[in-house]
Amino acid sequence: MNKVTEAPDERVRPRRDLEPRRSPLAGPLGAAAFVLLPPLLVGLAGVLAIQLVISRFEISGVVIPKPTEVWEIMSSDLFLDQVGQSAWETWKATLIGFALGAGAGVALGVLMAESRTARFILYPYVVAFQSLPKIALAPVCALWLGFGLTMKFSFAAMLAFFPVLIATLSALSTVSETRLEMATAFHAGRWQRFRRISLPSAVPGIVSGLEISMAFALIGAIVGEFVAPSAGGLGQLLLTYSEAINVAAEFSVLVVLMLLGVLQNKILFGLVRLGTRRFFESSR
Amino acid sequence: MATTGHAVELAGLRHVFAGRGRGRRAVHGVEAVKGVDLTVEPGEFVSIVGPSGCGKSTILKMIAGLLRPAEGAVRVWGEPVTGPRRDIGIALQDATLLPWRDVMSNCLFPVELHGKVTAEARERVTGLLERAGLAGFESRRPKELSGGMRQRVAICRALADDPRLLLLDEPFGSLDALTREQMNIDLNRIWRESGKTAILITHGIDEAVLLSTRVVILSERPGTVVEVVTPPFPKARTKELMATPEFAEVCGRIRDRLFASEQRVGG
Repeated sequence: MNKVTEAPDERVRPRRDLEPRRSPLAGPLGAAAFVLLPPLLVGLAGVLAIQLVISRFEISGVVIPKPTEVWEIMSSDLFLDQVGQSAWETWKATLIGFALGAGAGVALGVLMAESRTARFILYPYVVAFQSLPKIALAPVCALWLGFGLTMKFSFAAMLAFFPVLIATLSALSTVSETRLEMATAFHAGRWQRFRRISLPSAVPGIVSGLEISMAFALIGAIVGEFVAPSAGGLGQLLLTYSEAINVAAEFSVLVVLMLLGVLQNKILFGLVRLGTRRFFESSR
Repeated sequence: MATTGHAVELAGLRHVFAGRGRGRRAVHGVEAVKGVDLTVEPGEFVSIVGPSGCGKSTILKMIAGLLRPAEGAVRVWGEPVTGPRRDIGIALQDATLLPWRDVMSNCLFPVELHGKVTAEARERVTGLLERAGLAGFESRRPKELSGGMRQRVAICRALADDPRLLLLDEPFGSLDALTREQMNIDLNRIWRESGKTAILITHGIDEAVLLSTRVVILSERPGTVVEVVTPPFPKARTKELMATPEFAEVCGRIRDRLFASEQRVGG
């Protein structure tokens, strides 16, 4: 009758999603399978569904290629040769750009969080710069930097810069006051408060900024390649296939791009985990 | 500078929290404490009780060097307080443990700030954790501990760099009555064994009487000392003590005094 009196079980159940998932399979191989298999299976099911829909409704390969066609191209030696070289060129530009852009973003974020004067002076310029459509800078960039690697990583850096700057600034400005006061009460100086309280507190926020920036850096590198006819990389490969109206090959490049995105994201998180363990968790 | 024998001296202490804004939207400043005089001797355990908002925590923060008094003087071990000192250990209302560090590393935090973490410091912290009933929890993270355990870690942290003066701001305020009683007995033992000077802010009269060699009663805001009560009990306190008529008598006296001051100011 009275629904309110029925005690919901949810309340007493522990939040299992907060605990790290344990692999029921033994050994490092089992653990890897436990991590990789579920997303892979879901992805496979999705691909299968697309394949079925395309076959069933006889959609033209010029509109959407069949996953099997994409797979055929992706597994050919010629494609692997081309794509391997291009992916590396794109990724090189992405990583250099990310390092520069994110580095500048973190540095400026720290400066603006720690100094009110710096924030007051720099903030409008940062926002103004972010409001520029970066693609509009392409002709000038090409004029200054040429059509090579420098121009590509500059684009990547410009896109990577802003998200991590804002993430760093906001994470450092919302550090718990009681934590800082505790450190002050124990006679911590300004640098000690920053190094031992603010910075570790801000790590999760900064990392989510880095995550966005890293994806943006890849986009930046591709944009650079679109603009520069001789820049090479996956962007140029995409344009080449597009001109040839080889849609299946275009999709293959897109798949490679996505794989690259996932890979670099995993690498980022691995490095962050190592870094936080090394710098914040122990007392030395 | 003449070094007196006192651990802490407060003379004519007054503090006003600044207002803000102007005109109709102005928020006026609040006088938190006024004319507070108090002397704490080495080895004493002094509790400060008073109605909420009477400036108890303000006084503690001024001793800790976190707040500058508007008027009056604060001296710790004879020296005027100009900022936080290394020889003060403090535990606040929230445990404020750092979630990315384990128990051991949290306790070593002040030691780390003041210099190198020596083997001696590690040993001292291990001993403190043992006495606080936390042996075996050294490598646990704060989120794996109960509220009471976290508070005990915070007290161990306060004692980790071997401070001469221990400041406690309602460290058990958020705990249930039962845990709190147990913690009080633990704290009494830790204090006796360490021989430190301690100042405790609390609004629990029982707690103050159980732990202290002297209880300072503050009036309502602006807080000022209305009476100092000396519980006539030996240093070692037990749960049984709380059931004695003498204990109840002292608590009753303090309670009456608190209510009297409230009526006078409020009426």
